[in-house]
Amino acid sequence: MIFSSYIFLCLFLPLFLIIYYLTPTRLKSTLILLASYAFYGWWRWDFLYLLVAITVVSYLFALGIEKARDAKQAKFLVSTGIVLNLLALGYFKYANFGVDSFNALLQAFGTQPLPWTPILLPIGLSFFIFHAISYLVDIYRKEAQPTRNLIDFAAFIALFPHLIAGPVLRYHLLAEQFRSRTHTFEKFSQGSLRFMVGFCKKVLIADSIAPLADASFALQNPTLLDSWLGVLAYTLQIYFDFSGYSDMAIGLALMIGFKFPENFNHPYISRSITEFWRRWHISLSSWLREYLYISLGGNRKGVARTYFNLFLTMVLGGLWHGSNWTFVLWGAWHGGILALERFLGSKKLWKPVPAYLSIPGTLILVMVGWVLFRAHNVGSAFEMYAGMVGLNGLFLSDALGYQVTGLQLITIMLALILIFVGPWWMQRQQSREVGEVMRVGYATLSILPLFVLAALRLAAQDYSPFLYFQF
Amino acid sequence: MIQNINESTSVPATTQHAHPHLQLIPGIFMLGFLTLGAVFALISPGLRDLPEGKDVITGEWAVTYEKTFNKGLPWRDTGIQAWGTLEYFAFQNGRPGVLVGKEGWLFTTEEFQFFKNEAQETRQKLETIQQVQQQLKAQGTELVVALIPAKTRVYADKLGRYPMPSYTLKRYFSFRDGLLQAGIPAPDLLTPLIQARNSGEVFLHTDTHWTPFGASVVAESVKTALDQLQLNLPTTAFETRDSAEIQHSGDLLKYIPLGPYQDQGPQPDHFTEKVTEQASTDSSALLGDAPDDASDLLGDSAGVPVALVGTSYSFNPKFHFEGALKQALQVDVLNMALEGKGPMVPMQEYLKSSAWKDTPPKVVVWEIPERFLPVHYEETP
Repeated sequence: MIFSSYIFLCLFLPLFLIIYYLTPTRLKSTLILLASYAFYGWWRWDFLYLLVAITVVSYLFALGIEKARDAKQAKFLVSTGIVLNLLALGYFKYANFGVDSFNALLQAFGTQPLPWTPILLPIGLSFFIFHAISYLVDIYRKEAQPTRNLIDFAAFIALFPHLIAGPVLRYHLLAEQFRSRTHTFEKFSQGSLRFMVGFCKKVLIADSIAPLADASFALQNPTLLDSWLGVLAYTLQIYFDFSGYSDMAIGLALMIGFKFPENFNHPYISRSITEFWRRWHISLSSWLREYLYISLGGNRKGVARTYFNLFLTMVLGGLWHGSNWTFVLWGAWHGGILALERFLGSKKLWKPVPAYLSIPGTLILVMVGWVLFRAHNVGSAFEMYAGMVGLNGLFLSDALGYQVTGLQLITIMLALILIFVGPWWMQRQQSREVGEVMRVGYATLSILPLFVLAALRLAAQDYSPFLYFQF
Repeated sequence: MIQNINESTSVPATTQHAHPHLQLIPGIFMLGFLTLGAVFALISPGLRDLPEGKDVITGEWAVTYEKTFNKGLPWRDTGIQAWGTLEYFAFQNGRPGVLVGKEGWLFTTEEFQFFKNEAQETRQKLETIQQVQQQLKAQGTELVVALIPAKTRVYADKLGRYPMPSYTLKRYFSFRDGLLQAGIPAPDLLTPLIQARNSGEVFLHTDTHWTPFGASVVAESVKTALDQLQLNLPTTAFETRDSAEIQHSGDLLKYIPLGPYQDQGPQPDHFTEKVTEQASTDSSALLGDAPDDASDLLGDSAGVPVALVGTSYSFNPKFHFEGALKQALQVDVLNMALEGKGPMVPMQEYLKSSAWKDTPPKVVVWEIPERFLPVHYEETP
């Protein structure tokens, strides 16, 4: 089930909220768990076993780690727990990729490829595996106490607002909230507003631009204008799609009393790639830093190793997004630039460059990366790059020209305005308290009619899945 | 590299505001929205329409149910029309699939689409047509291909802001050349259609298909091609008369849902339906041209000298191609066209039919619209 669907908006959510607010506190976690399993099962019930298995295994291993006789046994248990989780991820997400790559190699040497039936990727797998790993490592590092309450833990893993596409949360951030949290109408109202903002981002902006990105990336020999228009469309689509999803997740969580950390912070006004990764998918970059970069040795093992760790973290982070060489290269692109910025000192490196150059400059680096992220394969990405440097002509091609609509162009312009005016607006709206919250003024209420428009828009568009569900 | 996230970046539970009462409005609005949505959903017919024979475990049931549920929602049409109206009046765009040309002319995007494998696909189609020709010839049957030019080609001047894509410019000519080189009769239909525009419209404004007049122009060209084959077909006298004046909302008009503003958008086509019947004064029997099997007169297909195979252009009686052929040839025609299958499948089906196996005609007219040439169709088993 997806948030931007009528089945969720008109049946699941109203029904869940009614029952949730009528349920006594001690049973709220059980209700969240059952509702979240139903939410997941709506896609496929037969993959629910995987979610349950990962939950139970992680729960038991965490208890084992706590009771370990010594550090050695604890290390063995945490390693085994992580390996089991990674084996599940590897089998469902990377087996096809591995076999395909191996078969390509065999064919290159004139050998028959191995017969193989592709494995279906369970939706949200990457996210709930990461949740489970973070839990095990937190317990091992003694940053959190393992829970005795299996229901609370299972509800944390399955919590439907973040089950399918994040944010990637650490258990200790939510553990306390599972034990005790407040439910106020102001919180519900804040959550509603946040959900509506996300819904509008997704339906009105991302989904309106998506066909243009799709059409451009489907071209064989895109021209300069074709390719840049397509990449710009995708750059905006992925941001409004994914940050819209995160807004909806944060909003839904708030509607039932949970506070999720922010996941995006105006990433396209970054002045360096280092800054970009502090603003884009913050929960993932935090996870990668906490559990991968530090586990690899971080910056504690010498200068050369630091750069290597940084690079490898981003390559593996790229691979986490999808089982394709394009994601590996995307990770390498970002990892390489991060390493370079670290070597030269990102602030020092870009300091001489004024903001009106460093912001678009960084955005262009990000856009070049998005080509790899969006392309179906490395060959298609390089076709796009050929177009971007003008090797296939300059102007709009006939194959794309007829597909460009006025609504798409206006939406792109509005999206750009939002990206660059948004940060200023949010700053203006920020409360006097710490933290970013959307303060409701008369201007903010314009989101209400826009939400109705977006809800009507759902009827007028074909089903449009969230981009991040495939990762 | 990456900052730690801590509680300080979380959403605070309560805040101080200049307008504290405004803080509650989104929550009240959301409650109202969800309540209304749920009430309307609960009374919508789609709610109780439970799919049968679909697997629940694999999510197949849910997908089917959700589609039905969405279609049954009472505000669905409002949503479609509201956005359709906005896109049409603000940008002169329809739903994906239609292009709005000049003077109320609508065109399908299918005629603009770029196909990566066009060369290979058209080559395969040409080979298939050659194979069919040989199969027909083995039974003494001739093949004539009626290659219908794209609407965009005939009405290129009505395209407005959408120039005809460069990769489609030669499509009609090169494929027809291929047919001729393979020895397959394929009359030029583009020239007569363009010339006929002086006398009337040959395609419909709001539809991908031709007018009865366009169909009759093509039928005359097919007659010329058949005359050159000197097949000496047994004639049947046919008469064509005008029937009712009808309003026709074309297949492309569905892509411009304007609801109450429909009268301010492109208007439906109006044309006079044609009816072709066997002439009451038919003297073919006296002239010795009567078919061997007189059951023909009772509508039996046995021994019909011309079979028409093709797409909706031939299938739909509104467009009157079958009647126009009968009128032009003065020969009975068996219509074996199918709708919505493309041009290749109907021929496969025809060659499997008893109509072909038991009583092969003297000639098969195969109507193939140009826009289907680069499209790949799965073969029927």
